[in-house]
Amino acid sequence: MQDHEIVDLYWARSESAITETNVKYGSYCRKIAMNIVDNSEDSEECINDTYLSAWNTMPQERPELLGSYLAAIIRNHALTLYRKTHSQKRGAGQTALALDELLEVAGTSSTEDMVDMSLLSEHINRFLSGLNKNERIAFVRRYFYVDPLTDIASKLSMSESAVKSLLFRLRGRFKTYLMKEGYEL
Amino acid sequence: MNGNDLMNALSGIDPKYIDEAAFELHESPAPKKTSKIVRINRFALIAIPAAAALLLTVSVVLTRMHVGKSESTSAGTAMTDAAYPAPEAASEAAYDADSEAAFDAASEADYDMASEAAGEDMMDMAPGLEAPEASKGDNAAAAEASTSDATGSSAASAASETSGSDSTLSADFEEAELNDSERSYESKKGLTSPILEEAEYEDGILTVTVKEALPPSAKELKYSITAADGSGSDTPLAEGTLGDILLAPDPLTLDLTDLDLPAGTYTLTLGTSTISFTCK
Repeated sequence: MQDHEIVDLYWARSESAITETNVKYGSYCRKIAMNIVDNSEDSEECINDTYLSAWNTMPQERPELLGSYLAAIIRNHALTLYRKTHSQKRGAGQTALALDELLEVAGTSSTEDMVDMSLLSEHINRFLSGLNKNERIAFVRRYFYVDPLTDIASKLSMSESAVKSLLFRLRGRFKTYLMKEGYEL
Repeated sequence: MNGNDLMNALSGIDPKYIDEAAFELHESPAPKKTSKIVRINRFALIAIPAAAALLLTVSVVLTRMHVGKSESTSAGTAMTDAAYPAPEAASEAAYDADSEAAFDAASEADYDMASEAAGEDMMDMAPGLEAPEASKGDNAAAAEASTSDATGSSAASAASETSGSDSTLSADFEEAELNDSERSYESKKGLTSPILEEAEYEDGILTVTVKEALPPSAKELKYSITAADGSGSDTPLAEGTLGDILLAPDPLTLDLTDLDLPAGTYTLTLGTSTISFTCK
């Protein structure tokens, strides 16, 4: 079923919208959740929360790319769950590693600086638009999908060390870009 | 700003970038390993036929070299023969090496020119042999003999037939080599096959007219008498040395009374010469 047909089902408040979403994007959403929470029960919880969020938000929104829309929702749910379960101590999964890598860019300052998230997202989009396709895919797979380096290397037909050094260079360029845009890092 | 802020902000990236990187929904973006395999396959497609062609070429060249070597060896053997010196060897080598030239000449519908070209090539191909002047005549004769099968038919087509088929040529050469070896053996013993012109049989006595008088050593010549039964195959009746049946050398008179030949047609073979006679 095409994305717009599934969205039509949401807009029609048809319960089959959830079923069709699960058929088409169930495994995709599960992969993202598993990358972040690294637990099958938690990932199922994230998936259910995502379908509920989609059901609640859909009449107001009409996403062109339903997969990307669901990916962003489940990522937020998974990150929230991750932070809740790992509030006392840092985890050892891919999320903790990815967060550590992003700390190289953003530092450890408190969130009291009141960062404008939508503006930061805009800057990230501009930064991504300046990368070539492989660089962009590697960056998004690592920091959006929270993929392990081995998976990225396999999908891009590169060695793991090559992906690691590519991401290191990209983080350096990202930090330089953000500082140029006026962020204090 | 900290890492969590960046992580949260990343959820707001453009959906097209999320979709672009969605391996789960699309094909892998960089199938480099596949292209390597394709490159290897293409290489194999080119390399294997090329290697086969090279192997074929090398085998053909080696075969030709081997054939040329064996022919030159036989030519060298013939050169050492007192009775058949350089011209025969030269004719073999020249005929083989320049058979194409002879063919080209022959295909121009000039039989004489083809024979002449072959004769010239014979001498050209054996410059170190220094054949005697008289042997030039033998060369020409050999060239003529090699194409004499064509007598009676169109000169051009006969020359083409003679020169155009390698198998025919090689068969002719083998036959010529055999005859040469026989003649060589007989020459060493002082035996020369007489040229038989006419034969008459009467009451068990066969009288044969020969071109030249037989030498005393002719008694050692081998003879055979065969009967032609009409089916195309000859039936051997007797064989031995000429001395066994020789009554008189001039005219050559042979005693065949022991055979008690019935009426029919027979063939006398003396050395390499043959003649037919009829018994009434």
